[in-house]
Amino acid sequence: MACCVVLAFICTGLAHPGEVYKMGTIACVTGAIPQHGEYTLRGFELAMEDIDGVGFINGGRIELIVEDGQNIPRVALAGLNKLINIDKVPYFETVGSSVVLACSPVAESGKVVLMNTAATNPKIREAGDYIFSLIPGTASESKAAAEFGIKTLKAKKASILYVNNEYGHGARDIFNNVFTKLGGNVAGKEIYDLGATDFRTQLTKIRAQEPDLIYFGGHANECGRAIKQAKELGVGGKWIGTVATNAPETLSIAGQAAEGLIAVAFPYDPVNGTPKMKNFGKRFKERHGVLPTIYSANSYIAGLLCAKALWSGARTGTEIKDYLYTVKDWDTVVGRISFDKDGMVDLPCRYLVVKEGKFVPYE
Amino acid sequence: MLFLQLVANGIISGSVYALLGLGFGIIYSTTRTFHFAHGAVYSIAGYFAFQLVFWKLQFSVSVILSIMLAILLGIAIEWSIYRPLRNIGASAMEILISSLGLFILLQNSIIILWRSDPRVLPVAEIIRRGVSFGGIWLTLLQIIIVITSFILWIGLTLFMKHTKMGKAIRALENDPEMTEIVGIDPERIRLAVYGLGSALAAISAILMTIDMGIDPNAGIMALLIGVIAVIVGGTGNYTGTALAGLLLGIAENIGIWKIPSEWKSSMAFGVLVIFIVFRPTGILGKKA
Repeated sequence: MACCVVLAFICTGLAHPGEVYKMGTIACVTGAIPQHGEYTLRGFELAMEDIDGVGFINGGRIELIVEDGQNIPRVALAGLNKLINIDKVPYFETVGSSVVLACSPVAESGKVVLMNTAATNPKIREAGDYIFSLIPGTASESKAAAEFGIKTLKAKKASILYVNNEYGHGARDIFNNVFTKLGGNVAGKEIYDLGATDFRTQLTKIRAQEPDLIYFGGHANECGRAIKQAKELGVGGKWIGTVATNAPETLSIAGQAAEGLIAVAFPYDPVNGTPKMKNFGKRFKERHGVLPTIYSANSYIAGLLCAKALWSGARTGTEIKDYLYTVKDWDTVVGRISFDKDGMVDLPCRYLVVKEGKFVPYE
Repeated sequence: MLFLQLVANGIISGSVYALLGLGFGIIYSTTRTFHFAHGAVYSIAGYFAFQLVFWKLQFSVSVILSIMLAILLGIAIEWSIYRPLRNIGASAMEILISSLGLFILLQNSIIILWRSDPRVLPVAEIIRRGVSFGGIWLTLLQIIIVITSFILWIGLTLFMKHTKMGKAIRALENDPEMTEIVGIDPERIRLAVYGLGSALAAISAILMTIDMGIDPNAGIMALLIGVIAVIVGGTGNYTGTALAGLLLGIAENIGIWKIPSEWKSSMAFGVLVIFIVFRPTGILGKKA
């Protein structure tokens, strides 16, 4: 609510009577990772409530246009073309490294701001001036996973199980480079298709590699299945997953098999975090019955950021872009954020472990 | 040992593929309709079983009710969509497109009803626990999957050979016109095969919902595998279809023993291409 008051203060006197301002989202509502679509839409739902709660003077309002990108680049591009050419949005949100990298040149040439809320491939940093990320790149989280494996878990031999897209490839490369540089040995790199359900072949190969540590570079639903099947196959070694694995689906699918799974996380903690994080977590849980992932929180912020830019008087993609570069140390539901010269936020990493069916801080 | 584990994994996957092939195959070979919505029937059966167990219904009752729902759904699709289309002289392509549309509609209905979260049917942990048999790790659930598939395959073969309905289905498969002349009602037989095929899809969906969980996209993959198993096995050859399912499972697993895992899903299509080129009549078919 405090946020709304601040936003209301910012917006005073800047809007036009009855005008409709558009922003878009290319969410993966269907496709291989539809849970990500839910994360996005649920975050935006709360953001739109807060934005509508403040409102523009004289009845102006912001409209959210949803396109289903299915986490498939060509489908997302069709959605983006519609957003740019028909809906004329100056700002849109999307997720998925492959999708973000495919959409970036189009957003850049169309002078439309792309706000990435979940993709972490390192190439996104160089994707363009109009490309912003609310989540740090894989360089940060995969590096953190490799360092944690060597320094804290004392692992010497690791295997990597990763998804066959830009996200998984980025996670594999960074983890592999850092882990080997720190003296570890990467015994194998096994790949799987996005949304896969059967990991037994890859896990059988990993079992033969006898790793101390298995790095999982993929999404929550895939992680839940992989870790469950690993238990059934007697695969040894500790598991450490990407930020994406820190989600309710990992626990609901894997059940008891998830015990001991370590996940890299950012400071965002909807249970024990800052009052803003806790308030967001409580509100979200009351609405949907589950705690919000960082992706829902980022989508919520993406909605508010667009509103903030519009309220500041920015109207075109270029004006919104210029405004976003001025956002510094903004207190949000994921912590304080600032965009650097590449449009990226930087957040420190921490580690969670599954204990008694919950992610708790690793001690 | 790695090789033996991969073979075991292949037999487990292959058993489910065999069931998927049998379910799709009996419908396709009898009606010559490319029943795209079969994938949606598969998903709905899995989700419905999950829902009933979630509502605290007894597990066995939930399974039976889900199979019954799938049978009714299959019959309803034939009765309310395919039959009226045939009656107005729709082509095979028009029926296929309507089936595809229905598949998309049902798949999205699943997302609306159950959201997109993957669902797993809860069973006793002991059924899931992996046990090593001389270095080959298996769970009780996997053994149940293989045995169930084997029993259903044998049961279907006996049903087709020794029952009146089975013979009528084979008659319709071989010569629809003659079937009608000898007094068999083809519409009734069509309803029966949609029911039977949907029941097989439901059983495989329930087994998979216990083993790996189900999500709204599970149906399309199940359908694809079913179609490949039917082509590789030979249309109308149920033993061939079951063996093709097993072959696909084993090929997928053994295939990536020495090559990168990213080729796993290509294996089934690789087998399909080999059969189309070198043995278009199927695994047990006579040389063309």
